[in-house]
Amino acid sequence: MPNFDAPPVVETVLGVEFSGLDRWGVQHFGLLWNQMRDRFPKFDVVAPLGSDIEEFGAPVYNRPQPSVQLVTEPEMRCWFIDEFDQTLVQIQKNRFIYNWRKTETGDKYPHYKNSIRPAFEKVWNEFNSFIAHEQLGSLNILQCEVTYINHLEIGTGWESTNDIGEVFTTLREPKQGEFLPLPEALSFNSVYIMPEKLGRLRVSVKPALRNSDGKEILQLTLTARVKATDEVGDLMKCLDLGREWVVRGFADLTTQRMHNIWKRKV
Amino acid sequence: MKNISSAVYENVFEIDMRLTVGESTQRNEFGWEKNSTQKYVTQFTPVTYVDEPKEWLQDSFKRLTELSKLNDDWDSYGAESPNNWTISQARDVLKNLSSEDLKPSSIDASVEGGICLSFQSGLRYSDIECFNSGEIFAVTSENGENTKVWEIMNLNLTSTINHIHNFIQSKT
Repeated sequence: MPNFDAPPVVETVLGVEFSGLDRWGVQHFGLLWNQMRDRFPKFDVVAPLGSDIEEFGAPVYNRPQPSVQLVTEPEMRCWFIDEFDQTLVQIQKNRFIYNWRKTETGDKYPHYKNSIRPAFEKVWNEFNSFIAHEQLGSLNILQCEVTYINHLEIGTGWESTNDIGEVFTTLREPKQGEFLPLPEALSFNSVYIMPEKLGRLRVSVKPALRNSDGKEILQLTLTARVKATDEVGDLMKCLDLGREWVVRGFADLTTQRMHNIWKRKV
Repeated sequence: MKNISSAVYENVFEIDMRLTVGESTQRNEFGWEKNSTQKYVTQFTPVTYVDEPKEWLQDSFKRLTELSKLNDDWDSYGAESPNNWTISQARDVLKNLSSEDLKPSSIDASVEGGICLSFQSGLRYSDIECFNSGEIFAVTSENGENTKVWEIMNLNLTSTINHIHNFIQSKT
């Protein structure tokens, strides 16, 4: 597996989408938070996520219709945040998500195997114990998700869109003398299907400004969504497969030159 | 006995109408931001997507970061420091200004608690002030006279920016 000493990753997200918690109510956010509050003392309420289940088969086009949704209980997602704003647990009725993010320039990526994976497993098991204790139903895991967010800072391997071919293996600028000038900005998305349609890897590159310091970046986001099936095995194996696609995908999409900057290990 | 419509209405906890005009944000009764790209994704690290990053926009973001570190009583007259909400609002306004390539002449903390983005051209002055209370007001004046003040709501941020742009650029 490709390994880097100084990868540009600023955030990792491990998530699970499930069904079956029909008895989950507002009160359970508070009860669960109370159990985790010693490690996640900060709390926030944010908009709920829609379902992101990967579908395969003939695409169905549904003409978008304006709609107003009436619901009889609050749809919400709660954030439990640690005191350093570095790790986050996101809970909603059909989602469980664990985030690690870099908070200071000097923070080193703690790596998946020895730090992020066990940390996820610990809070996930705690969540499952809570579900069982409160008799909220049985979780039916539908899909897991692994996202790595990378910040490719201007000045580190690239200065303008002229250098983009030096960063990404899949992009090339037109040769000099051809019609178009350099693009003022650049973004792209690509999607890859996993063998046996186990899931997809979604890649996006977008120009952005980082809010914390105003630095111009290209945000490279890789999200692997893997269906929870018998072929894949249990949830942790499902996440491992997703992470493998993210890491190998990252290595394939970026150039050797950038790998040297990120100190890829041989 | 209730009729059906009132019974249904009383059970409606929320009507989720995501405004898609402009890009400013608004908090609903649960505290989360409506119409904020950041809040509808799993991502925790805040960034602002920009189609064409402009140098002045980067400098403005850096300035906001500096202002976000102010403490209360930063002016030694008891002024509140800008809160996170105000900083976020100011960032949204800046992003909208960037679309018009309308660079503020200065970005400062407000003694009334908030962030003031000001524009000056000759005798014409304008500002957009984001207050800690969540309100945003705009002002235009010429040579200190004909002062007009109005509140910016979600739907009129774009038109306000257009108005200020025209006002500042027009000849005195």
